[in-house]
Amino acid sequence: MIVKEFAQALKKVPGKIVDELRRQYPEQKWTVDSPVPEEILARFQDITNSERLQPQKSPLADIPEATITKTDEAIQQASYKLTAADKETISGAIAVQNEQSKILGASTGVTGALLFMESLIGAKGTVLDAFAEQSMLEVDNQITEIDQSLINLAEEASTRLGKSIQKKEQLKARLNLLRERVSSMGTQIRF
Amino acid sequence: MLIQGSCVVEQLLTREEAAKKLEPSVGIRQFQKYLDLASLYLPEFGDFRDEENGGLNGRAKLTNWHLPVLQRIRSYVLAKGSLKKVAIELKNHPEKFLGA
Repeated sequence: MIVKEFAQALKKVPGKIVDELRRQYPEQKWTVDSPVPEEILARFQDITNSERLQPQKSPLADIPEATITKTDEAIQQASYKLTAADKETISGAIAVQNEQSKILGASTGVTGALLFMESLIGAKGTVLDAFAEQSMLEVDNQITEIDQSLINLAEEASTRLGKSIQKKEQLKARLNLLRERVSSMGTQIRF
Repeated sequence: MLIQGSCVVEQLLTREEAAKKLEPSVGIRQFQKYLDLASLYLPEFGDFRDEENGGLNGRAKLTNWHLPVLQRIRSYVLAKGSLKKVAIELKNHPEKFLGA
């Protein structure tokens, strides 16, 4: 039975069956014309049986059902029996797979949460860095302002000094004038 | 106050853009094959599977978040040389391709 027929029997889309087969048997190439593996057929035996036996019935009508005529039929029968025994193993494997999916989901969740934390811390760091930078800028501004004030103060002081020197000179000149007056007065008095 | 820094946001990509972003970059057909494998074996890529008909779903949106996984598949293909080996590895050890 090929995939197309199998899908028809199950009333499913062949593409979905191909997907499922690729999932189960990644080492093989699957198309809608590939033969469906016996173990899969066995799992769906009840559903596919009616479809599968109908076309065979007319030519084999007079042969008793239990008689095995061909080797490949014998192989098929044997494989049915084997798969029936295997069914439990398969369902066990499915349970394990489910468990695996659960664990995988949890680990993905943890990964996601860690990623979230990582970016949170990153962003927080960015904001703090920006804040620190801003504060540093503020301090720099203050320092330049203080420097400027000091320079202004020094300038003011030197102007004052210059002025007072000027005044001192003026005072000296006046004093000289006064001395001259006094000395001339002395000569006048003498004469 | 000006906040400087970088932060990754979700960015929609076309299949062509994503194919070019892989290292080394690939053609669109090859890229579709990677996407096909990822969507078949990784639940995280389930959106890329057509729920009704099987095969790839062309309408699922691809974003930069999908790139790291596809890159791992790309690197694995380079290392092993065949898509079949990647498929087997994806089925048996999907966690290798997810990771943080």
